Parts: sequence; C-alpha cells; structure tokens
Amino acid sequence: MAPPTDPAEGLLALRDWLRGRAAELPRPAYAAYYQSLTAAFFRINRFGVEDGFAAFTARDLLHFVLMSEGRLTEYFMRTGYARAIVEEDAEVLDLLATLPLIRGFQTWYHALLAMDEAAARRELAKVFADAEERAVTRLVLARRFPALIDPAWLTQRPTSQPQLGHALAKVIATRRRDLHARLLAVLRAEPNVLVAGEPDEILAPLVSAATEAPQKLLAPFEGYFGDPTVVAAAGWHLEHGEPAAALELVARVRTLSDRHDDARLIATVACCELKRVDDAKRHRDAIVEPAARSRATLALAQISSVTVATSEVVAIAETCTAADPELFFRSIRLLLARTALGEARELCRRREAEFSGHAQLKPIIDTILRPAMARVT
Amino acid sequence: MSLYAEQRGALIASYAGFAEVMPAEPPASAPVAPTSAAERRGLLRVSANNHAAFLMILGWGDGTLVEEVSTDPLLRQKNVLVVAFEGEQDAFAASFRRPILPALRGTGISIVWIRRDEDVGAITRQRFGAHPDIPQLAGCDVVDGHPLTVPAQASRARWRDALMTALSDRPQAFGNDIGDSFTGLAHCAANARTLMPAPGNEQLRGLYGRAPAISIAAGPSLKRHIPRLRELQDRCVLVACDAVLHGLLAEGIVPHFVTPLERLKETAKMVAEVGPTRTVFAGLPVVHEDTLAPFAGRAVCICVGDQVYDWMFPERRHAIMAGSSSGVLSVSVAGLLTDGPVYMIGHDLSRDGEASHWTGSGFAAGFWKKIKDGASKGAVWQGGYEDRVVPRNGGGQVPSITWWDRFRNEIGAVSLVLSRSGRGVHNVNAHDGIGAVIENSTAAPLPEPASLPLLPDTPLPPRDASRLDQWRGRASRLHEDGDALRAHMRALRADIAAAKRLPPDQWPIDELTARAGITECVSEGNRCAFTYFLRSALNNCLSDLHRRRRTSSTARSRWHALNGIDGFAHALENALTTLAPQLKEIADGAAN
Repeated sequence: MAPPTDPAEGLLALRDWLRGRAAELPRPAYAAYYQSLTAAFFRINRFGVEDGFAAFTARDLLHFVLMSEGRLTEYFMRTGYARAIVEEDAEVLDLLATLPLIRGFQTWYHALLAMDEAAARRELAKVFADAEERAVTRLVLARRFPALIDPAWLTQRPTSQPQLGHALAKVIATRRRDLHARLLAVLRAEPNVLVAGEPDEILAPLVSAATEAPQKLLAPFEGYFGDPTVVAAAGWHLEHGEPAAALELVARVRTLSDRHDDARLIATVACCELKRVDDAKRHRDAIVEPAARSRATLALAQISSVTVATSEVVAIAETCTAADPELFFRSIRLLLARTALGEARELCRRREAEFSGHAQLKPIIDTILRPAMARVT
Repeated sequence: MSLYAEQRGALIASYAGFAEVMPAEPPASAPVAPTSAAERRGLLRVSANNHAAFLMILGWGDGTLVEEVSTDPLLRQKNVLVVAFEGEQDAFAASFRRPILPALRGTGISIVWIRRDEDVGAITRQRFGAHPDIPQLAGCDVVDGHPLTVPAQASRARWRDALMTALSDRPQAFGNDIGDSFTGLAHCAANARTLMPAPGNEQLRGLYGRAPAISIAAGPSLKRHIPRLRELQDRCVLVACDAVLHGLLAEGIVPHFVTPLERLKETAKMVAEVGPTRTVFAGLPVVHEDTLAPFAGRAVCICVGDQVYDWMFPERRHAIMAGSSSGVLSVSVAGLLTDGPVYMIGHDLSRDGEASHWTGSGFAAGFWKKIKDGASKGAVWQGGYEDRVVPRNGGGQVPSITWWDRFRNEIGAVSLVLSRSGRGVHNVNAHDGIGAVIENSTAAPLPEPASLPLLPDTPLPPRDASRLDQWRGRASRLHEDGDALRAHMRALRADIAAAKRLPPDQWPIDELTARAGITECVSEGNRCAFTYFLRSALNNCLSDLHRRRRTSSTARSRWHALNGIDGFAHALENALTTLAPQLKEIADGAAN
C-alpha cells in the first residue's frame, strides 16, 4: 500500500492504529488513560509545557497529535518520533514513517542508521546546538557502534530526559564491559537514570558480567532491582561454582514471578551439582515453560538415570524446536552417554536437516549416521 | 463447629448477603474444572508482575485462584475485587470446606456477587462512587479465563461486557481538568451578580406544589409530542434542555425553565433568542456569562454537587444532581420544582432511524454532525461519540453512543432518588416503545390536558442580596490565596527533590501525596474554590500514576509516584502563575 500523502489521511491511519492499541489494556484502564491524557492535553494547552513531556511515551504523544486537531501536531509528532527512537519502538517508527509531516526528521534518522563507522565518528565530532539532538544522535550511533561510546556521554544529556541516560546505560551494560565501572559510578550518583526505565535491564547484564561477587556490586542499589537481577546473580554464582549461593538467591523469587521458571532452572542445576536429586526434581517439576523444563530435565538426567528415564530424554529431542538446537544437541549427547545409540541415530536421521547449522552437532550427526555405525546397531 | 460453619459465620458477619449463597451445610463439590498451578500462574502472570493497585477476578471458579492471590506477597497488597456470578453459589460454598478465610485476612481481597442485571450498576456505584476510588481503574488488570460452573460461565459471558462498560464510564466522573475547572470558577464569578441573590434550591423546592413537570430533551421523538405539549404548557411545569429552546419557541411553546450546563461560550447560541418570554434560566452557574445574559436577570440559582458551589454557597443545602448534559439537568430541575410527577419526553438517547436529534434542535444536531463527520475523516478524536448499543424500550437493543449511554445512567440515578421519595418518574418513550431504556422510571403517556387545572400564577421567590455580599468577602482574597498556594507547591517540589536523594524505600511518598492535596495555606473562605481547582487535576494525576505503575520494579513504581506528585505540583505552579491576572481580575471585580 502506498504511504498517504494527505496529512488527514495520515491522521486517519494514526487514529485507527491507536484504536487498535486500546485493546491492549482492559477497557476501564484505557478509559482512565484517555481521560488523564485529555486532562494533560488541556493543561498543556492552557498553562504550557511541563518538563519536556518527560513522563510521556511516544504513544502518549501520538494521542496528543489526534487531540490537537491540527494545532501543535507537528511538534507532538516530532517529539513522539524522537521518543520512539529512544524507546526503540519500531511499530511507532514504522507508523510515523508513513506520515508526510515528519519526513525531514525521518531522513535525519535514516542517515544515522546508514552511516559507516568513519562517518559516525565525523558526525559525533560535530558541534550540536540542541542538547536533545546531540543526545539522541549519540544514542543511535552508540547502538550501532558501541566502540565509539565516550563515557563522558553518560553525564552529558538533557537532565529533563533521564530516559536517554537509561537507554545509553543499557547499551553500555550489554556491550561495553570495559565501561562498567564508570557506568556504576554514574548510576550510584544519579539513580534517576536507573529508574527512568526498568532498572533490571541495566543491573542484570552488569551482574552477569561482574568480575566479583554480585552482592558487592548490588549493595548500593538495594531496593532498585527485582527478580531479573536476582536471577542473573544466581546464574553468576552457578557459573562460578557456587551452587549453594545460587540456591539461596533463587529462593527469593516468587512463584508468580515472570522469572520463576528461570529461577527454578537454576535451582535444579544447583541441586544437581550438590547431588540433591529429590530437591532437583522438586524444582524441575515446578517449571512450566517447556524449554526451561526440558533443560532442567536434562540436567537431572545427567545425575540420575532412575529419575529421568531414557524415554524422557528421547521425548525432549523429539519435541524441541528447530530454534533451540542446543537442547537437541544435549539430548543426543546424553543418549550417547547412556549408550542409547539406536534412539540417537533415529532422532538424528529424522531431524538432521533442522539442525545442520549447529557446529558441534553436525560432526556427531555425521558420525552416528555413518554406515559403519549404523551396522553396529 | 466445623471449618465450613466457622467460615460461613465469619462471612455472614462481614456481610449478611452471604447467607443467600451459603447454605447451613456445605454442598457437594460443584461441577467446576479444577485450575492447575500452571494455569493459575498463566492467569495471574500479568498482575503479579506489575505494581498497579487493582485486580479484578471475574468468577469464583474453584476458589484456588483467590487462594493463590492471597499467598503472593505482591498480589496480597493489591485491591482485589472478586466478582462471583449467579450459578456458582454451590461452587463458592463448597470451596469453604477448605480453610480459605485465614489466608484472606490482611489482604485487599473483597468479594461481590452479580446475580441480576442491577447488580452491575450497584457494584459500579458502590465500589467506584467517590472520586478517590476511581483512579485505581487506570491500573486495573482483569482475569477472566478460568473455568467456572456451566451456568456461571454463561453469567460471566452475559455480564462481563456490561461491567466493563460501566467501569469504563467511571473516569468521566472525575469532572473537568484543572483548566476547565478554573473556567467554571471564573464563570461563576462572572455570573455572581445575577445568580448569587437569585432564589436557590432551598427556596425552589416544591415551588409548584403537586403540579406535574415535563422534562424536555432533544431526541427525534419530541416531534410527536409537540401538539400535546402546546396544550399542556400552562398546566404543567415545562423544563427544557437548552438545545430545544429555540425550536419550542418557534412552535409556540414557551418553557417555564431552561437548563444550560456547558461552560463553552459557543453553546450560548442555543439560548440567544430567548427574548422577553417567561422562560427562566435554571442552568448551572458555571456557564459562560453570554449564556446567562439573554435572560435579562430572569434566573434561579441551581446548586449541584461540585465543590465550586461550596465556595459560592458555603451554607448550601439541597444540592441536586447535575449529570453531564442539559437534558439530565432538566430532569433534576423538574424534580426540584414540583412535588408532583415528572414526565420525560425526547429522552431517546439512541438513534432509532438515521436522525440523531429533533429537527427543532438545530445547534445540537449540527454539532453532532460535525463530530461524526470529522471523526469519519479521521482528524478528530471521537471522545464519547463512539457507537454503543443499549437496551431498547419494548425489548431488544438500539444503537446509541457513549455519551448518551452515560446520560441514560445518570437519569436512571436521578429517577432512583426521586422514586425513593415517592415521586413518579415517567418515561413517555417507554410507553411508546421507542428509544433507550431509562432505569428506575415507569412507562406512561403524557397527561390529558383536560384532566389538569391551569397552573396558578407562581412568582419566583424574592432575591437575597446578602449572599452576594458574603461571596464578595471571600472572592476579594482569591488573588493572594493563589500566590500562597503557588508558594506551597514550590516548597513541595523542593522537598520532593530532596527526597529523591534518599534510597527509594525511604521516599516519604504518602506524606508528600497528602501535601499535594492540601489547601491549608489558603484563606478558609476560598479553600473550597482551590480544592475544586485541585481535585480533578489530582485525580487525573493519580489515574496517570496508577497506569504508569504497571512496572515490575518496586523502585521504578515508587519513582513514578514521586515524579507524579512532582509533575502535579509543577502543573499547579504553572497554572497559578498563568492564572494570576485572572484571579486578580475576579478579586477586583468582586470588590467593586
């Protein structure tokens, strides 16, 4: 479908899209949302802008576009577009890309996305008159070329928009391990940055990459982090050969938590390492998500062929998805360790094509399916 | 005493209505599929991983979902409304053979029943009747995917939508935002000279004795009543909504009263040609002064529930319900003016054919067309004009819109109040089998003119200038009070900035929130004015906060709370700065 060229047509598309979003919330919640946005809109119209719309998301700002009936439309649209870049809201970016009003802004963004590293360096060296434009430019290029991040950027951003700091901190936490110490110092001094988005999006990767015990790293952030960071810390202890410490941490994760299955998987593996088969089974049985449950079952199967029968391992290899070759690989390895060569060969024969891209799996499959091996069985 | 008997006793002690659904002996287990732990986790996942304050569980099921909620540390703190449905009484009672009540103690879980249509409205009114109850809806989660008994499953399917619709309308009860509320306040001040000395509700109550009153709204069905209305106009008290005034005058019908309600200057056009007729302004004091001016002083002072009227009339009594439209107000005013029956005509609140309004209400019909046409072109947000289907008089359903459905419920509430005091409220459309159903009213035709005597000459009660003088004393301090409140907000913001330097679990959120609504710094006489000014803004701010608290992080949730108060204080400070000249103008105007 050709993009609309008439602004009214674009607004119609925007209205329909926002109406579609209404279904994402329960109806009373959406009605209250709409009511409070209307109030904010009237307030802003009459008494002026408050704090650069810091509290509003890209989607809130798009509602304002419709409410403004032609007044301030371009301003809200551009601000909404900038906010969508920060939030990485691809759906909003795609939608706005069809509207003629922000073409110039979109061209600028696409140019940033198309730059090679040398051009990005030149762009970053420019003097920006507008602090927000500078901060968004840095963020977009940081996401593409993390090596170009200057730690000074963490403190050079519009104070009214801590979301920009949060988004940059996320990039550093996940892609610049060498800057973690600097990042932690900034977060300690400006916790606003941490809570401008979900704090766990920054703290969990920092914990996973920590070189010392996570508790020490997390001590200044007590009260800021939730289950994802706790689970990351437990994972850290497991990786560092401290299963008891991992168990202690995951005990804090609630049954109804989003991270419950991850926590139980860690608990299962930790119990296996501690040779506590019954406890491992109890944790495994509490897992709902199929892939996590399969992983836990394989961990348990490694220490107890009584608790996990070979048929259970075969079932995992049969049902795991092509998107999860590691699960298939580990199942086959386990079957081979249990000398269940016939089952392993049959599985490899049937699913060979799905997992041919897995580097460690391919030689095993090739070996199992060689005629000589076939004859042995 | 058995565990069941013990829990039954405790439940009945908390609310006698539980006796209806809990027999003396526990029933055998009801045929409801048990919910597995994995299913319960799936159903509660969203709510258990955000800090929004409110969760609704539609259906009791086997009771395990509620038990699961009571054991989760986060969900235990939420306001949880469990709606049990007709058809699951046995399942409900049977589940109390297990020890459920001890787990519920100390939680925010409450249980209500929907067993008949009217329970939906009752729950909405009772649970979300007051302004402070409403903001939590912005953060609500709804769980309704769990198995129920077969009859309860049907009940849930039947009443779920009605409940969601009723709750969706509650935020509208916030009133207006701070911009508009101030508009109301400024308009009241501008109209004070005419309205403050005019007779108020207490002098107007029962003014026409037991004479019948007719509330006239702008639905297309009004056309069929015009000849009869012409005959009745000197035998009944005619109270018209603003939209029909010019049309009625053109038909030779002169209403006794008309009830404008909107603050918008544009709506003054609906009464501009009232001329030197007998028609008296009985609208709200918050209308634009251009709406009042054409009546040349023929006015009564109608007092309704909003706090701005506490400022105008601190000693006020007998406030009536305004509702959200001139048509709703016309029913309330009709009920005030006589002790006799109230007839409603033209309250279609629906589209039976293509017409939205009576042809004599050109302005309202034009406004409707503008909104609906604009909406179809996509440039205008359709706030309140979305299509909706409502029950039709004579059975079945009829197309309506969100606003009309709200008016329908508001008139239903007015009718309930009137009928409880023994008054007859008759919907003529119900007699004719057209238009939307209005609860708590009865079907009846307009009375026969010959059966009624002519109304006696009824002059309005005398004006009383002392009320105006008292108001002037208060209003003359409005300007300095505005400055004091602005200083209060500035100090609050400074304290919020200081609090942010502490760890999140030490942020004094409750104390700071309480200070956001305080008007102690304002002189006593003007406190109501500023409370009114703050109220809607604060409710909208809290509503926004409840929505933003849909985060799994406790710290982020608290940060939103702190920032929400800061944003509110900033908005108020901004507003008071912008409004300072207007406050001064009101103060100066009142003094002169």
